[in-house]
Amino acid sequence: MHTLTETDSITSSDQIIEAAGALAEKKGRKIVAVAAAGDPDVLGAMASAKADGILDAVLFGDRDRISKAADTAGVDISGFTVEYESDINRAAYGAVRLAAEGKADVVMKGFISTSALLKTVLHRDFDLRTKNTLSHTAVLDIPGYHKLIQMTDGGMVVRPNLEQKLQIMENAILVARALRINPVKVAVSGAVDRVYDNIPETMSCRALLSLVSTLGLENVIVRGPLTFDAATSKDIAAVKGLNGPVVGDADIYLVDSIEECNIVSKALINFADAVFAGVIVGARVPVSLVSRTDTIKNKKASVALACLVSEYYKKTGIAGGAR
Amino acid sequence: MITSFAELAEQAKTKIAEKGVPVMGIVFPRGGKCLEAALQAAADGYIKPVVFGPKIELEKAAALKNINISGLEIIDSTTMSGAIVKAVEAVKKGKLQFLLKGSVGARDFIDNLLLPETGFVKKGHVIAHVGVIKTPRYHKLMFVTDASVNIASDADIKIAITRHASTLAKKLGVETPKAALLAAVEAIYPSMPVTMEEAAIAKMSDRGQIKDVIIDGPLSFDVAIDAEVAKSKGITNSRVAGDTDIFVGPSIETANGMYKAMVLYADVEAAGVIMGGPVPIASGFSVDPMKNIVNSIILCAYIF
Repeated sequence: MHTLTETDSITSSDQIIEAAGALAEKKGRKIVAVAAAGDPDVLGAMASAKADGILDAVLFGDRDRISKAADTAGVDISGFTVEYESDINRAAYGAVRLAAEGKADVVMKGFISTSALLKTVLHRDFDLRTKNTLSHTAVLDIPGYHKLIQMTDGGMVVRPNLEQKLQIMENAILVARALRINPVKVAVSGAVDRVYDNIPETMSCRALLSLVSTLGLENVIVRGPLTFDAATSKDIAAVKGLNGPVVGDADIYLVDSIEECNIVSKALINFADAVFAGVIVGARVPVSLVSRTDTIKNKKASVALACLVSEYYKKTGIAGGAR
Repeated sequence: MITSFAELAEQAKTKIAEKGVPVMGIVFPRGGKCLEAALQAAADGYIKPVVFGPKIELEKAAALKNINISGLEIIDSTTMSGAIVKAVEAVKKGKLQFLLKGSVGARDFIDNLLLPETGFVKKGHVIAHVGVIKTPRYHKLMFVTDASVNIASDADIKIAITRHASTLAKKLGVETPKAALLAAVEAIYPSMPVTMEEAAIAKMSDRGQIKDVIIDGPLSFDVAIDAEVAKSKGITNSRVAGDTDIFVGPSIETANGMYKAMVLYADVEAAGVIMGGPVPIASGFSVDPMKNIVNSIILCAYIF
């Protein structure tokens, strides 16, 4: 079997997990601070990633809740450092503080609402904000597509304006860099493949592209509007008379709305066996979250992805925005 | 209730045996897979084709591909808009039972079709694309709408789209179709306008203001398809969740992406039809393999 080298692009969910494992072996395990850790799914994911040598975790949360959740998940948590804190928000505060102090690399969402956790991440007590908005990106491994593709944003920004879309794109580009993708090819979503003056979404796509062109982003190629089929299939693109480096080879599909991202991703996950790894980017530490309906594999891929993103931030000193 | 394309083909044959072979107008084919699909459907006895398109170009393209079109009736039209006008005239005269969109871009086709001079529908009348998808992962046919016609749909248009999908589902034997208005979440948040609009439409449905179709929303995709997930997310009193027939995208981009993602990457068979006009229009995308175009034709041959 071909072993992934440190410079190879990461092209599958298995490789995300493999690369995070190799990173831990070489440079030491990333530390994940779990906010309100009394959640069986999260504890299950932490225990299995720890057993695989990917990470170590510090659990913040209520003693009873954590031990019950560990029982439910059937995992042994005696190897983890635990900071008992019965109040959910104070548990989150503790986890985020650990990351802000540089003693943890990733913040993980436990038994707490996403919005409460992110409010803590952005708290003025910590210097974790960047100039960019927080956004969620789902790295999808779709059987039949030759590489990973990020769908963003399906979880955070409801109806992004032009500036927010640009920031969401920048956030995703950092994740692509963490996956060692170069150049990064961004397809801006559309229901059609060119600008029509009677389709407002295509007009805002044009505005976005012209804004992007003023930024001089290096090794980033952006094109849009592109339909999902044109963005991911060279054959279909050819039938439509489209060519260029992005068509059929997109690394990032920058969608138009939270609904589009969420629904198209779920169609691929449920009916096309896509495995996804998700992470929230735009703060100085990546925020990881897993949900009850995730499979064991995509939970593992999600935390592994967060570890890779954290390493990229550390190595480059960049977080949340390349500008 | 028809649950597969094999069943649909069988039922279409029976219907044609009773009612006769329908005449299908092919609007502006250019020698691509649409023409081949039409010829195959004709050879299989589903339709009699009439072409509205560029005669010389077609003959050349057919010769190149070694396709015999000598027996094909061609009403020569060198432009797409000309072909549409002539085809709609034939529809109005009762000469065609339905149409097939040729190998032309969906957007350009729709924009031309809806020009007032074609007379296809009156200004303001909503037509909608409905994709029909069969995946072994779901217990019934999925009706996905609207991937191609309506750009910025307000609540009225969304209701009209849902009704068109419902009409199609009923023709395929779904007694009272269940429609999910899809969103990223299943809770209703004033800060998410899509969820507010969908909830309002669902309320209209609950009160019986919208007949013949049960509508619920907002529902996320996994809640729409999976009763277990619905339950785990606390959606226990939905009449639609877990058993959805009609998947209404909150935007054209969503429905388009959903349809194409499934056709490209999931193990599916599909068909597409534009509903709401005087006759249905079988309508595939570039992403659809020829089989899906044939399915679309058979679908129209069944429902005309």
